[in-house]
Amino acid sequence: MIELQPAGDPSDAALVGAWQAGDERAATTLVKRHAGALGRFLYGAGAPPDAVEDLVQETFIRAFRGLDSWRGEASFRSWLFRIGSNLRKDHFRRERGRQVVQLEDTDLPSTADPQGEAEASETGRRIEGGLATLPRLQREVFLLRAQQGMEYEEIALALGTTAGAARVHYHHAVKRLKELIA
Amino acid sequence: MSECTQLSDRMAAVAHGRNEWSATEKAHLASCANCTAEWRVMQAGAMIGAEVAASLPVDFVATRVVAALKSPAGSRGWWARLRWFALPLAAAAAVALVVFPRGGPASPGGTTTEMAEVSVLPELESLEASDLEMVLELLPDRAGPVEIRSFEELTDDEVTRLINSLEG
Repeated sequence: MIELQPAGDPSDAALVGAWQAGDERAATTLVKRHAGALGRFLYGAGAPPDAVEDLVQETFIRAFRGLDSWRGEASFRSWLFRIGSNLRKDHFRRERGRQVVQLEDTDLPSTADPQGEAEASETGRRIEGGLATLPRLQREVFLLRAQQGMEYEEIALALGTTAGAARVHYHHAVKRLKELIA
Repeated sequence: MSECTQLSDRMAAVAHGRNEWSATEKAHLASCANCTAEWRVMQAGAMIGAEVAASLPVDFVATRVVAALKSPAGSRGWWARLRWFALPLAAAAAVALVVFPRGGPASPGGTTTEMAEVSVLPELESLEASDLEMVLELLPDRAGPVEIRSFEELTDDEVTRLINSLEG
């Protein structure tokens, strides 16, 4: 995955180093840089919307407290996803029985192409609903690829699998999701 | 590599604006129902959770994270304060439950090594899965007081049952 970073902005590794040297602002910058993507991933992976904020917060706390175990093979963001994925699993076990993905009606903005917008929205809802029926690894690989734009090698690092296995999981997920929008 | 596979491999980059379709790829996409369907799935997947991310109070989260990190106990709560005291005890107790058959060590004349059903300690039941994983990680190094020579002596079946008992 290519993390677009404005020229001149410090890298994640530099911010981690600054935090470890006592710079609180570095931690704040890292949270602001990655919280949105992490929140989207956790939601897509099945976290209820009202739990996303707490899961994001806890993921960062665990990450900062365990920085010694981040060796830089994966990007900082991938490493966050791995921690977040484990936390979401724990949360799901505690909340077993709750709906995995909550589908909510939302007010659609008026557009110049209301029919096209409605079809896209319907496709999105079907995909979200279909995600909830997928095995966890298929769901998370699909999210890291489609939602986060990661390449298979980085997905493998984030989820502790191989690039080949990630590719297989992705294609199984896409096959199932394509059936839902056919 | 087929044209469909090539397209599939590039979809994430194009969907996230890092690349663009070539004219040849556009033509294929327009004529291949399979690739068109995958592209629709990819585009829909790229949008999942956008509203959640937009409503996330990032500044507030950052403030709370830094505050928690500055606090020694912070959001870790009782478990973090007790962790390094409780983990070796929990690990030892878990190993003991696996190693010793119900009622204590096997009788000298016994020939069976069948394990007693492993029950979960109440203390372990309250732990989260990630904490239980930490217990397991500590087993090889911190199981000294337990009467086994090494964790590696457990059979695969015993290790599986231990893990299952801890995960519930």
